Amino acid sequence: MNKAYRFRKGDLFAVAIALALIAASFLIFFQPEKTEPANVEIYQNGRLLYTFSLYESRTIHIGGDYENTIVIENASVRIASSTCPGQDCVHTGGIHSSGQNLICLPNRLEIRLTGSSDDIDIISR
Amino acid sequence: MKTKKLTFCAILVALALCMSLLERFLPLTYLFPLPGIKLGLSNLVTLFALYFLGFPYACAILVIRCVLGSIFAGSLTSLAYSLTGGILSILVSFLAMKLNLFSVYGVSLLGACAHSIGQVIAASVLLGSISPFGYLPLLLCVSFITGLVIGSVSSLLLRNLSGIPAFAFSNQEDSNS
Repeated sequence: MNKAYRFRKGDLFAVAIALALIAASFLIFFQPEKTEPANVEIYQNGRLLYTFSLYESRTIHIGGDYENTIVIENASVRIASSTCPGQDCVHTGGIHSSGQNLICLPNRLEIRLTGSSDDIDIISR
Repeated sequence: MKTKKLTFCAILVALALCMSLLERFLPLTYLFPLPGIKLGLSNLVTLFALYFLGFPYACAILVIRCVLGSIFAGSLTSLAYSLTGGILSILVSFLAMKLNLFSVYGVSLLGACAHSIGQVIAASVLLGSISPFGYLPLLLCVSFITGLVIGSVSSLLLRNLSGIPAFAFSNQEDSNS
């Protein structure tokens, strides 16, 4: 039993599995888009609420279980404030290239940056 | 013996809750600006419980910790998230432990990766969108580091506690002596 407490050769196998998982996830899910970002799409509960241009400054308030304040300025989007307990979405900061997204999970809110043409967007269905 | 184990479980739940609270003060989300990033300190408790008390007790501690944690400082969504991640993580950790191939380092590492995957799955379901999977590569990278860090701390902890009679709970060890 005691040898289970010290680093063993078998652990290298676990390291290999973890590295393989990381590599696989990068290959499958990490696909930065090369198109210029153009639109800010705001989704809640999986439904598209609004589409705004990234190049027009504005502030948007979203209700729901919690309240989010979304700020679009200087060709970037951020969640400026949120009443949710975690504040992860606020800490994430701004996003500015297409394919990136911001998520406020407690409020089921998602903000996607998409390119100018819809068929380039790989994420949306 | 059972009362002793139960009491110990209660202490471990309290300890795990303190650790998740402490974690909130660690600015890991500033280093890696991603939702759901944490060190996983309370995984120390889970690992300790898995090795010393057994799988059923470890599961009970995990579930109670998640429920109480979300009551104290969280929401229903954070519960869904931590519970899915936690359960997937403990299942993988348990299987990895039973394989008799890995030490606590490997068990912790695989558990940490499973936690990330579980979290992302829960987030996708809640959001009704697959975009949380976009966070998976970076979450897994962070899990790789935190899993090994927690693994080494657990290794130290388990090695130092294994000789102490007060911590000899497990049924296997009872039958050995």
